[in-house]
Amino acid sequence: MTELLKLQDVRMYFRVRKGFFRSVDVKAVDGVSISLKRGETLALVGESGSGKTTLARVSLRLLKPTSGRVLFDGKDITETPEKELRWFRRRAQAIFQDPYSSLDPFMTVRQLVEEPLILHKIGSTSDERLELVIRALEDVKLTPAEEFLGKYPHMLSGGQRQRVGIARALILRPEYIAADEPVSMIDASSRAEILYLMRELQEKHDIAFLYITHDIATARHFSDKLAVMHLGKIVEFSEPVEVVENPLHPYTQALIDAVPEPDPANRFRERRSVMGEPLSPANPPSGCNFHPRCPYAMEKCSKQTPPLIEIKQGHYVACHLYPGE
Amino acid sequence: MGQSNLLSIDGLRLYYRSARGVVRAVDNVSLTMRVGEVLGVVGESGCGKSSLANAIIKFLPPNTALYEGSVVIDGVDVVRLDEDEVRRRIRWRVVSMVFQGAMNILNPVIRVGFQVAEPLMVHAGASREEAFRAAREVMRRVGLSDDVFNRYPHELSGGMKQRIVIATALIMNPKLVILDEPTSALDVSIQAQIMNMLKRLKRELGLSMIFITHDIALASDISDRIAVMYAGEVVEVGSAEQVLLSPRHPYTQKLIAATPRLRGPKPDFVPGQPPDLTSPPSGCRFHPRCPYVMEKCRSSEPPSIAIEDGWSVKCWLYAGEAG
Ligand SMILES: Nc1ncnc2c1ncn2[C@@H]1O[C@H](COP(=O)(O)OP(=O)(O)OP(=O)(O)O)[C@@H](O)[C@H]1O
Ligand SMILES: Nc1ncnc2c1ncn2[C@@H]1O[C@H](COP(=O)(O)OP(=O)(O)OP(=O)(O)O)[C@@H](O)[C@H]1O
Ligand code: SF4
Ligand SMILES: [Mg+2]
Ligand SMILES: [Mg+2]
Repeated sequence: MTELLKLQDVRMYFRVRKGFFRSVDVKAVDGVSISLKRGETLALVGESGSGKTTLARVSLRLLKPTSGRVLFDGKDITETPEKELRWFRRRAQAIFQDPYSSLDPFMTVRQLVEEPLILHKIGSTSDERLELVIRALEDVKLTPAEEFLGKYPHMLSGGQRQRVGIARALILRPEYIAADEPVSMIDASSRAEILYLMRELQEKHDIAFLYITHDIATARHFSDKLAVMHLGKIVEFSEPVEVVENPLHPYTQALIDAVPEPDPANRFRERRSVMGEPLSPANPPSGCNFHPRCPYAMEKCSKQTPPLIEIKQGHYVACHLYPGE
Repeated sequence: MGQSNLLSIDGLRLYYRSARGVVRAVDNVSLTMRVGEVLGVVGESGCGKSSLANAIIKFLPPNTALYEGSVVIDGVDVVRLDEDEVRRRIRWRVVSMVFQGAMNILNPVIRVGFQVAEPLMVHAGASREEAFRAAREVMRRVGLSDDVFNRYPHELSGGMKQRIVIATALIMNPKLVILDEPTSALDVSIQAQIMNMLKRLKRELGLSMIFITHDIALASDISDRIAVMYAGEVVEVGSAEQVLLSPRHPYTQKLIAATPRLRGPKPDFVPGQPPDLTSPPSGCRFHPRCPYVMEKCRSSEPPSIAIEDGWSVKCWLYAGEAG
């Protein structure tokens, strides 16, 4: 089966000034390869600062990577200048985390959802566009659509605003959508509804999704593949059930232990959690960059970077605890 | 039971004036808390959790339309006190609060240790030395090392800032601390660390807390008892075991089923929207979203029905079980 999106050994370094004469490279993404087939969801899970958003921005070619390749539908778009990316801009879309700030407060739902059509010169008449807008609103279950057309973002709930964001992404019938923490600002109890909706639309329109989240529990239920990211690198990759039932990387294990389930016995025990604070990509530790926080760190860990290797069928991990063959 | 009540809330109402009409944010809430207990308050965004917290410390916005009922804490009814007395007698020293998003409003130009010490100087007339000593001590309690004292907020991570805010709430040894979504902006691992720290405070100091969150799984991490709010009302309250293991109210059942679990079935969700609190539905406020709705639910408001001692549910399904 052919891959729709392919990132090969992508690095994204940001040069930031430190004082007058010095500058440092923030290694936001440091050698990541992922691929996505049509109709497939890849969940990208990791803490704040692990590089998830940066990777998504590279995948959308909103950033040009420092090195590595970005391929979409077989075409290498790593260096393609913006003016030659119009076709790609239409076929790849984004959904953002914050339904409060990502929508212009002075535009109505109709204008918000119609805007991408105008930008891409789709639909020759206003009536034609209105029909597409209504269909997109129905797709995201903002029904009856006529009732929502004239509303402004502040008149909508968080979940409804996020649906408007999805409708905006969907109206161009994209093949790839990068959804960056699409439900983290929404109530815990309403998250599943939006995720089911995205899943349904994906099946209906055969869309490939990159689902970015720090919540490994939703990733488990709403993705086909799951990649765990730590400080710019993918440290574990497999099918979601496999990752959750059989986590190999100590970081993945810690992420899993940190998730509470509704259990009254929780209050009598402390949760295991990764030691200390997330580390900085401006000055990443040597070797395995997780080693200062790892309960199993060995001498080797601070010296050599473990490669991402396949430990068993389809299950990859980058950790010296699993030396491989 | 032996233990005395720390807090008794009865018939508490807090309404706001708005362009669309009167917002019934807290509507006839009654709750009690014992000393040393952690009460979790859960419910969807906009159901009135923060308003309930504000009502408990009589922190009322200018557009308050109605504030009535009683909030008896430490033998004093906060509702009857005037603003000056609340400030002198209640806030910080009896009840303190970690406001939702408070870590983002730390003063950027004041050293954090000073911010922790401030309430002691302002409200208890402590000397600078005394206040600083107490601040260092309470900062240690919440897991901050001594060198943090002289730093500025921008030099701290989110988790450390949240610890500062919690330290400030503890500085006057209050009897009750209200924490409004104290971890929702943090990474899961930092969240787990803060929760562990709160559990230690509970264990070591016997600290009583009200823990507010939209995430019932998170509430289960610390709460002895859980109150579920819907549309300004408490629809179910009981021990963590009762509410989490055998939830009775259809809304509680939905909330629990909606929690994504690592293991186990796919999560469910509560379909539809919570109501506009300027015109809540007649009868049971949950009836438009309830899978078990009956004729009666649409027309008359269900009473609070006691299932067992300390466990009550506001739902017509249990009308036959009273007693
Ligand atoms: N334009 C930029 N210039 C400098 N540093 C940057 C830039 N964009 C991102 N970074 C840094 O790169 C690292 C990764 O950031 P990124 O936003 O990709 O992480 P993330 O995993 O999305 O985190 P979060 O969960 O907080 O959204 C961070 O340390 C961030 O500060
Ligand atoms: N000062 C105010 N004036 C008018 N309406 C208000 C005011 N403060 C809150 N509200 C409204 O009162 C209702 C309850 O709000 P509240 O902030 O108490 O809910 P919450 O449960 O804390 O929500 P969240 O989970 O989003 O923090 C909401 O409809 C809100 O819009
Ligand atoms: S009173 Fe009726 S509508 Fe309300 S929760 Fe109970 S069954 Fe549902
Ligand atoms: Mg991000
Ligand atoms: Mg609130």
